[in-house]
Amino acid sequence: MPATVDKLIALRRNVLSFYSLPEESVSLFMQNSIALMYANYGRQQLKLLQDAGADVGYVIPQEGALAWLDCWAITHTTPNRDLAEQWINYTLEPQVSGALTERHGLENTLRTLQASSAPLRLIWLEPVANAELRAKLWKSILAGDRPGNVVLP
Amino acid sequence: MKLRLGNKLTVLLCMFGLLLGGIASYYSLSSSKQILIAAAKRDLLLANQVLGRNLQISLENFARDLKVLSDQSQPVEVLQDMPNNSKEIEELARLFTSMLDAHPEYQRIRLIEAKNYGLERINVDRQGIVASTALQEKGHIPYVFKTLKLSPGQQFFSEIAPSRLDPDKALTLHIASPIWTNEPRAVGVIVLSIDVKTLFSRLKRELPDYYQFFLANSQGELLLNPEREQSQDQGSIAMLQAQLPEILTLLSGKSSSMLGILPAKREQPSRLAAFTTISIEAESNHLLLGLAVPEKHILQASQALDQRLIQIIAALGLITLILSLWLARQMIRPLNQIGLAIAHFSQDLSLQPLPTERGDELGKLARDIRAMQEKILAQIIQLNTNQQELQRMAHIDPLTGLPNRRLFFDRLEHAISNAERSGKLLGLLYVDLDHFKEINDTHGHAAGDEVLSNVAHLLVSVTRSGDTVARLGGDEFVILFDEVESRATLLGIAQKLLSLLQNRLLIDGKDLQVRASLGISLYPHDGSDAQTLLQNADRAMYSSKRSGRNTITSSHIT
Repeated sequence: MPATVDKLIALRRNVLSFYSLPEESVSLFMQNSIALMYANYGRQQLKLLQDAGADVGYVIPQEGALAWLDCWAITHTTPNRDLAEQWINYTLEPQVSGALTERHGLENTLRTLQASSAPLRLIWLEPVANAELRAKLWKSILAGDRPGNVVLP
Repeated sequence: MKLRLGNKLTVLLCMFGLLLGGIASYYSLSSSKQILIAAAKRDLLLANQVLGRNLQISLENFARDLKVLSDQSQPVEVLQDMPNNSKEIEELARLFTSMLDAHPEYQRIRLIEAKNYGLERINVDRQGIVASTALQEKGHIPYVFKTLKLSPGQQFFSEIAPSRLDPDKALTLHIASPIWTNEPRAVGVIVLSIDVKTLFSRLKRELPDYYQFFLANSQGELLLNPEREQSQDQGSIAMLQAQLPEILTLLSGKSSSMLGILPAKREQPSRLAAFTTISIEAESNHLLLGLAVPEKHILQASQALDQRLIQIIAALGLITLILSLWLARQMIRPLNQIGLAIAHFSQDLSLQPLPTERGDELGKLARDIRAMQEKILAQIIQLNTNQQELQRMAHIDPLTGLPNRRLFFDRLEHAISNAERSGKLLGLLYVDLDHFKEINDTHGHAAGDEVLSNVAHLLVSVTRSGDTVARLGGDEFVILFDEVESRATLLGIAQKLLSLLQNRLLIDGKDLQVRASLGISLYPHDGSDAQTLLQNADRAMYSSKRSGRNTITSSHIT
């Protein structure tokens, strides 16, 4: 764990800044002559940057990239299962799914993804063992705590 | 008819009055409402501009305070790591503390160096001076890496955004100044952090508490949202343009202030709102400042006005009603009086009172009607007089003033029908003057007429009041005796008359002898009808003529 913390602090000392929202990343990129940006929001962010006039490309590194899927889930105890299903059916209609692609640059479930020639190395997100601890740690890193001061579990 | 005309007039006048009153009231009400709303809009815009100006002044003061701090010698000394600089650090920390004490909205003042990844050198917040071991590296935060790139004299103003990691959603504005030495790059920054909520609650205190207060950043994201104050829903971001699309003109920089209506929502009434943009020095960074006041609050003043107006309209209506009733009565009463007077006049020619004393058209009408009535009455009287004269002329002999033959027959028939019922006797005495033609021829017609008049007087003198003396024509007279006891009585009267006729008459200075032949008939003995009775008297008179004149003959039908 201390090694991870050291790595995170080294990362912090290396970067210009951190962002939390796609729009924030765009304004940071446009105002600070940034050459490389970790695109946490993927194609969605790419589209925003291109719309803002940035000359940018998007690559998945050899080492791989984190991946996750946004899904709808219905809780077991829902009082209105029918309404939830109607909503999911609605979001699966072509114009709603299409808007996801047009406005945000995200893929949708109605399109067949063009298979890339090179095999992608995707590391799928897994549940966090201790979300509270993770949040605390990341907050401490972001706040700028020096190596000795970062809260360790 | 009387009621209908009066009622019609009353209703008409009343409606007219109410209509005028209503229209006037409506217009004054709506215009005063508009004036109120316009005044409220003006007030709101003004309050918003004053607020914006106050905010601007506050920001300028913050920037000035920061400039004072960055112009001190101590920061440079601290950052250049002069030996024995702990004294300067202490001095600076004291200075920071006293500044925090003087300004409740100052949250934190820091001195941060450029090297060591933006390590804080001095950090004073409202709790006090942060221990040197707890100081952090801030090089990755815009207020450090952006400020370090500024030229001397420039200052950095951060965006105001709620911290996404902070559960309290504190709003912080960071103002930062670079610290320069002779080196080509800035050696550090001083950062003044301002608690926006404290700042605005101070600004808000100067406003009436029914004003709602909005603050949004340059994206339209609501930072201070009075609609969210009570609610626990802190999750989603509220964008101002979602509620008020017109705000986009402010966001795009096309105008600097605007008025709009915030629509009613659950728990929130419809509100009048003013928004204005406040520029924060650096970049295209600006704030949207908004004030809203519930429309209901604006209209409260006009509600009192409404009530007053309703009272006025009610009073006006009552006055109109009374006036209309009075006016209708004033109009209808004389008309009725005139109508009644005309009806009475045509019924029995009686004169009823008319409103002739009035000075208006009705008075003139009454006077004209009175004049017409008087004229009609005068003509009727004239007509009656003429008729009576004609009547008299038809029944009276003009020379002697005695009834003529026609009237005599009327009286005789009348007397016969009376006698028929009572069983009494009637007597007729026929008188014909002897040698009257010779008197005319000898002494002239004037003397003849005089003779006839005198004889008439004589005949009248022998009769009672109920008896009738008539001239049948020429020198023939007849006397009808109402009630005679017997033929002998009648003969007695005739005898008396004859003896009177023996006297001479002095006419025109001439001594004349006028005698007559007399004939008598008696009802019912000598005839039961007028014709027969008179014929028999006439016949008896002729018998007297044949017997030598100046004598009496009774009808021989006995």
